Amino acid sequence: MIGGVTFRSISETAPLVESGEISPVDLVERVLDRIATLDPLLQSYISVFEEEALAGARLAAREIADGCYRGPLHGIPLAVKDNVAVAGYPTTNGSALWADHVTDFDAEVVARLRRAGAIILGKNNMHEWGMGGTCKDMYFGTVRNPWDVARIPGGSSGGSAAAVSSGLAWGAIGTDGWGSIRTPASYCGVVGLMPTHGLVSRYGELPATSSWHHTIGPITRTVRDAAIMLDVIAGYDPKDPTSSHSGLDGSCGDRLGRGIGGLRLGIPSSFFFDDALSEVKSVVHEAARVFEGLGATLEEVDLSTFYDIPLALAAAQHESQSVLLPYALARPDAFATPEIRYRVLAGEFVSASDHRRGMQVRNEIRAEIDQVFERVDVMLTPCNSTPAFHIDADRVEIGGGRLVDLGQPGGQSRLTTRLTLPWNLVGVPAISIPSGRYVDGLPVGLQMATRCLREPLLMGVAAAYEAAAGGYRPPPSPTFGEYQPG
Amino acid sequence: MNDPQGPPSGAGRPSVDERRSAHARQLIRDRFGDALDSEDVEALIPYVVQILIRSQKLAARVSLPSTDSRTAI
Repeated sequence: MIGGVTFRSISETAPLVESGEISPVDLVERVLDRIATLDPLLQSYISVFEEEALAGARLAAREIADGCYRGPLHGIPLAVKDNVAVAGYPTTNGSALWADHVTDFDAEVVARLRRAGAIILGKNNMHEWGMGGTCKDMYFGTVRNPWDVARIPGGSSGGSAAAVSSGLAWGAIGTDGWGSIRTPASYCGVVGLMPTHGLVSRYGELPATSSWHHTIGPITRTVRDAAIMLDVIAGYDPKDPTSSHSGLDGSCGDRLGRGIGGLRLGIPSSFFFDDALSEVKSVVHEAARVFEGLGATLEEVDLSTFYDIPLALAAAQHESQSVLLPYALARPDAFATPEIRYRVLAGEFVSASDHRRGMQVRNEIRAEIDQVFERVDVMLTPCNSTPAFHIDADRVEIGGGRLVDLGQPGGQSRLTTRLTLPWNLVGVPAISIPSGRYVDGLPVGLQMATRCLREPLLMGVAAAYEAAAGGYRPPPSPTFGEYQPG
Repeated sequence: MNDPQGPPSGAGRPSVDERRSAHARQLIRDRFGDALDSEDVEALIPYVVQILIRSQKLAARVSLPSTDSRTAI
């Protein structure tokens, strides 16, 4: 077991809490100490609820001592991205504009976590309004990657991934519209799950939209922990008009450990490796061989339909931006980076015809991917073409020695969302897990996707790889001195 | 991108890029008027040009026949 209780997984910690070997109060006190020590550097939290977390921990300890154990999240400290409402606290979206935007209600996911006994530690820093993948130069500070504090953590759920990676929470809630859970999970060496659209209620994700490509999901240190959280937060919610009545066929946690013999695993022959560094390509192909060794059969799959994604984005790009237009005109100084403001303003020039045509392209892509998932059970791809890049980088080298100019429109998203966005547009679940391989000492995420509502299968496959070859490791930086291998 | 109808040197007639930028500048001024200063207008142009290029590609890729005789043009 990895040393240092704050680096333990939820599934390792829960039995200790249930048995009384560790008190939730002890967990909260230790993690608050770590946050106080490390977060001035990492800036992964916007707000920390010390008193409420300690009070919650004392209550959980009493309940458990009285024999009222609620399950594996009881007494476990978790964090929430700051675009998800927690009653009585600001939901800032990482923006100066909403710095004092206090909500009087919990998001449905927060309410469900509380009912399961989880302790809400605080709200995580993020790329403002969820509109970027770096978390750099934000109003509440630049979030730093625990693996190398000179690098970005990814985004937009960058604070959540950095906190989980560095032992500042046992798990976190993120949101994912273009890859905002999976990319930071990949860059920070943790697990990030984007569930099927509609499976997890978005009531309380702010600003409220009718978007068809946004989801809420868990960021954790292990696949089993993601399954534990998903089993709690999934399910129909009448308060969310986009919530689905169709649920999962059984518990995700129950599916883990059953083996993957006979699994049909798809490897893309196009699109996903176009920009990838050769080392990243090797990581994915090595992972495919691991799956083969576990009994899977491999099939190369043509995903060239994804080259049309830039066209489909006409139907996805500007909904939340329309919410922000009044701010973009009246409060230009209130955007942390000018790029976001210009993207908001540019949203005014997407026509209704473009939107309709974009939807048609998206539907064509979905139909093709439906066919793909007739032939294979799970697609295996890289999550990003490179590991996390430097905070101060102007250009980043991708495969073939080419350079991506981060100052150009679309430059950052080419690195942070190009390989994750396709599954948002299709609407299927996708997960990023640590590959167990490192490039320049940085973690590389493997992404897997499957058809709608097959999260139990997806997580079973991810857990099989995790057990065989991958898995979370605490960041090796001397800053993280609690780490004791073995 | 070079203008296929213009001189390769770029002298004389404006290039496609220049025409697109001018079009975007005009659209921005029409939409936002004095709400944006000239610095903002120039910075916004590349973002609007991207949308205009995508719009052209979409129109070439997807036709929009009406299926409703009441609204067919």
